[in-house]
Amino acid sequence: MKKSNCCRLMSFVFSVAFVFAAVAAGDASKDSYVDPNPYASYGAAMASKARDPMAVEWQNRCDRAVKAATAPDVLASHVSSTCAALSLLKCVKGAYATDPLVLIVVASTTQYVMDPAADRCRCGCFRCGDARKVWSEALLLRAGSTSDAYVAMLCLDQLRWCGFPSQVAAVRNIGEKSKDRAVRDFAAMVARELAK
Amino acid sequence: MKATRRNFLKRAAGMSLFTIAPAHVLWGGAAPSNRLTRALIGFGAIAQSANHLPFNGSRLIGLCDPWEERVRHGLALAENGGWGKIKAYGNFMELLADKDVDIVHICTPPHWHGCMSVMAANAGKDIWCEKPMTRTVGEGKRVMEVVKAKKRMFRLNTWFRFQGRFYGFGTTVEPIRQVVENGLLGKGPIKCTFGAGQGFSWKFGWSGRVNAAPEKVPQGFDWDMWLGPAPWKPYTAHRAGTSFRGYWDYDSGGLGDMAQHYLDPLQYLLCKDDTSPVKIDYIGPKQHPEAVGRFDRITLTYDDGTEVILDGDESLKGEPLLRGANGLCVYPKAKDGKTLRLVDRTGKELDAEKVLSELPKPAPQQTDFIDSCKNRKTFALNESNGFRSCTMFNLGIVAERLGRGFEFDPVALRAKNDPAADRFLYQSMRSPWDREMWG
Repeated sequence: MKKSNCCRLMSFVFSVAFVFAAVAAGDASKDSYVDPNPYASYGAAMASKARDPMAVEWQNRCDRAVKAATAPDVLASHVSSTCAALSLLKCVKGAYATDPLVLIVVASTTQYVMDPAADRCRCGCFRCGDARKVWSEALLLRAGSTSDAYVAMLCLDQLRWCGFPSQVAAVRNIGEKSKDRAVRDFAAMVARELAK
Repeated sequence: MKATRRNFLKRAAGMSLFTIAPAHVLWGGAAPSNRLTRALIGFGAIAQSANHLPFNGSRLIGLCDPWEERVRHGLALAENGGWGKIKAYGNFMELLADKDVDIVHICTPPHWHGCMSVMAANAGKDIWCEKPMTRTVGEGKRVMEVVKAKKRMFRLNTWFRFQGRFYGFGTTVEPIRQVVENGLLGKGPIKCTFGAGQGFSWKFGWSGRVNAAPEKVPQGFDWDMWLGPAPWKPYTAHRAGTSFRGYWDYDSGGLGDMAQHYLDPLQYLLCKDDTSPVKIDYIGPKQHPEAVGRFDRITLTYDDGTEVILDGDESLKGEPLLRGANGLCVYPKAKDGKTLRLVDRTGKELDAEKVLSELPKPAPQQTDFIDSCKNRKTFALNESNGFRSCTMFNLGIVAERLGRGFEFDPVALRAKNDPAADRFLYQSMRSPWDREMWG
């Protein structure tokens, strides 16, 4: 009996020893692991690149320019007519080569036309409610007339925040006609959003 | 037999293989066969933290990730960590379909949290979800409804309302709750300030690149699955790394990353677990449509006038964490090591330890999630109060994206007369995930 218990105890001790050895080997392999994504670590993810800045750095550098470009009367001028709106949207380039200021102005214009408190009558440009119609129609026109997938998706992305239910069919049509899977996907999502 | 090293090792290996100690000797009552099981969805950095991979309260049996390399790494870590050979699921749907899985740990970026929680609840699993609970108010409402309807147990992976030092504030939340619950701050609205001055960083480093150019999708990475319900956008490594936090489609910068850690305990100690702010004010720059930037100040005001101010530009550094209606202030610990500072309206510092010793302690909380799952007891931080604390900062995020403030109905859970705000609060998803989410 005593010999049997002694064997069991020894086997338990060796089992534990093997586990520790395995963990040590595992720790060694963990040290050599390289995550497939270069931005997997906090430091790498936050590192700045001068030619490809983070939004926070860019905001701090261009604070005055952003404030000037997104003042209510400036935004109102972009939606005073379809021509003015399309003129702004033509500044959106493909493949993420657009000036970030243009993108911020585009996004701010979308929120401007949706702001229930914006007193557009005071600006003297047009009747309240026309701004949203002008802007959303321009987004739809631009999304439907460009062959660049990025430009189409950016316009559709803005349309999901300001489009009308009456534009659902036109959005679906853009998706169905596109050869780009991303545009088709996006258009379907925006159509669902507008139909809510 | 000659006593060689080889012979010794052979005998030792033989003994350990065939005379393993019985389960009750090794595990006591918590033998593997008695323990609940868990599987991890997502194996990035957070999956390796204390409450996921190495957590000893349940038995790890599998994981999945859209990166093949991360799955291989996860399997190796699990085996070396004593979990043996666990399963590698092809995707999370296979994991949810596995009847052997009791609890799912959702360790993905936030844009997946809502959809996966709903799908997991529908699949009959209990859920341990990373924070933030959801990316939008609409998703959070849906998670709450489905988890309740399916009678699942749900917890978030944050814990400061019941344990741990409250970041730079330095104490646990319990003594602060004692002060609030026992009326020491007077009758009337309380003013709360959260920023670097009070010990809480808003981590503006979590920012996206303003022109993140498309890159080739790496071999062994399912970008479409990683995106899931988020809008389809071209792959760039900065979107898919830990820096996903810097893009509106997946998270909301430092506010999305940290606010549930900071504001959930605040909601608890203010005794506001069943309501939400009615007014949201925003001061800060206009935002890039894709990359998260900074905010200067977001103010969340409750119906009773209580204000929660998120101090982004650190202009309120000298403010106390809490300022009561009677002028009593609660500050972070002083350099002399006292865990809590109470200063009255005349500027006189009270003996905090003496004051607290005379106050009753808050009611105990359910803080063992495995016990919750086994005995069906609602966890301290669950789908309901978690939804409310998540809503606090989701409202702030909407104000950031609008570039202005708005009003909110905490009962209807909608913006008041503000369709623009409602579109951000309730966002569509990509197919087929919209059907999984909304039915």
